[in-house]
Amino acid sequence: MTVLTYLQAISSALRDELRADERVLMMGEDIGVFGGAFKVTDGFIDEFGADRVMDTPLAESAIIGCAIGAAVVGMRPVCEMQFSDFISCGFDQLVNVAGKMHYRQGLAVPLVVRLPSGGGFSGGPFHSQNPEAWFMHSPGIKIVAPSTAEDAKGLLHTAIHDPNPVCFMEHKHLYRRVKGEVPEGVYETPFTARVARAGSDLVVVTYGAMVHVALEAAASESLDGASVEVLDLRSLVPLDVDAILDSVARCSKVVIVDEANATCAAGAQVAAVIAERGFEDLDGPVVRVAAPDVPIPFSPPLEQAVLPSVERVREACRELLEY
Amino acid sequence: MRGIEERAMSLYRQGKVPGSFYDGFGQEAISAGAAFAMAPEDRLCILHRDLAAHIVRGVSPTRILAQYMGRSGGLTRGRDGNVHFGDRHLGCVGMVSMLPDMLLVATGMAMAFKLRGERRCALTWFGDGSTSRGDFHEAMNWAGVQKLPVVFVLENNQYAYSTPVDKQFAVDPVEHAAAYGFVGLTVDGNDVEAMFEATHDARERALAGEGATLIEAVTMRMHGHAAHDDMKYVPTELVEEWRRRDPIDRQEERLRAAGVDVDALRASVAAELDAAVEEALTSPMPDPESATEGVFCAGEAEPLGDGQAPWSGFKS
Repeated sequence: MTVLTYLQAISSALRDELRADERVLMMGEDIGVFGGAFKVTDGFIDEFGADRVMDTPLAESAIIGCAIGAAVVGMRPVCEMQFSDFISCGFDQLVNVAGKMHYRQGLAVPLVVRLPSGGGFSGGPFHSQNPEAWFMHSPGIKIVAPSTAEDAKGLLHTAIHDPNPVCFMEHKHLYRRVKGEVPEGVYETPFTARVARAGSDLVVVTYGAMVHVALEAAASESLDGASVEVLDLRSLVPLDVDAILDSVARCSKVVIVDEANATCAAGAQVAAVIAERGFEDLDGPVVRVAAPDVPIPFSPPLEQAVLPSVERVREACRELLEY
Repeated sequence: MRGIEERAMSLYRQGKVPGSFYDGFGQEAISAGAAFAMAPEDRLCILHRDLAAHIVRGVSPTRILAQYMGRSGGLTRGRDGNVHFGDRHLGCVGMVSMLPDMLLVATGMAMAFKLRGERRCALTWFGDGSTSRGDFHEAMNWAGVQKLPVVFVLENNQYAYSTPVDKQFAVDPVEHAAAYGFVGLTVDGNDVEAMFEATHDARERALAGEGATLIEAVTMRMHGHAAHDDMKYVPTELVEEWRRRDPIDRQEERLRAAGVDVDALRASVAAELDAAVEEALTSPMPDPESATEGVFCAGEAEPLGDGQAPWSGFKS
């Protein structure tokens, strides 16, 4: 075990995969000589060369499309979108070509798209988005969103080994703020949920950066000693329905937190699953906390007004506990 | 190709082909000529007016006809329609309806070949309408920057659905090739031997490390965009003029001059295709229970296999 930041854990997974498997290839804008906008691939070009740590033209559709071509002839491309927002420019290739390929033709597309996502640092409307729900609605694409350094590395290894397209949502705000013990070498973290904090009175279901917000909100001293569970989904596709229903059965009260815009967010699907299959276990309405349906604003007071805060989540828990 | 499409059109009129029906009548020389120039280890992204390429790679007429009819014996087992297929075992990737997308997939395959130092080539077809979308530029640019072994075959058939080329581009797209740093040339798309020669040369350039080629194959879409389209927007004289340049008639003349018994050949192909129709009709419709299966790959990812290219004229 070594202590790594979330960012170092991602770098470590990529480096291990490049060393272990010659089919693995990094593609992205400014990832080679510059080492990436966030320095995730810093120094990689020296160890692995410019072919395997490829500085591409500024063309997201081409990055995804060429990665698909490389994948179907035996490579294991890992694409970096400089910011997850830019996947809108590669949307068609990912959704229509990669996502539908296996269903239509039985042809696997082993492809990972790394999507630095999320707000909290005045990135504004085009550098702060959480676009995972776009792809949840598109069959054939897996989506994972780690909240810890250990899961960041383990989920990335699993994603690169997976024979399908995988969106790896790496939260920018966690890059250097979160650190933890990480096992050495290659290990696979399953695409399932994890109980980040066990409890019995209420469960907060969330993922990514909001796990840390939920953990802070759930601290017992702030909620008069109530026992609050935090379920970290880790994977959105596949969605760990069993883990969600298990937490609901034990806790009976549910708060769902999304950093993304509320309408049709991942948490909306979680709420639907609970309504359909966990209704009898509920002891109160399903409560959601999410960003309102506005672009993520730039100025700090506006951005903070939009992103779910510890206080908003705590207040939601407090009200539901009193129900 | 024409024989299969004629029979498929007849099945469509009988209500046995769901959705619409798309063919490449009059454009057969483009896919046939280009596909013949490719080796088994090459990889193809095949579009909707290019049925001959599938046949050259080794797909049986029965499976193609079953595909049109949405049968379980079709190449996508009813999961996708008409010419939206590619046999992965034969080195082919099926198209999507966003037509220029496959330009990038072919470019990516060529990128992998170059990275691995393999003497192979990727090829894709696309139409005049595709040149208007960004993926055309992104693929051409990427292939030029990385000097990739890829052949782009632009089928200029004068119309993208109802939109004529003069509303599609101000400059003939073949002229873009020079700006991207590779060879662009215009070929008579109704001459199968000219298509073969041009593609063969493009492949040689690709394998020699000289990068991509853009081949503009000039032709005419002789039928509507799809079976429901009566093509009223096309001047009759234009269609008549192109009918005199039919690629199959032209090749037939050459074959007769070379002493080939074309009538016997036609009869044997017709018998084979009639039998294929009968066989395809016996293929059951897919089980509705299977509609949700196979969205994800559950086992190992298997890359594309080699084409049989049984009649490939390619000589390395």
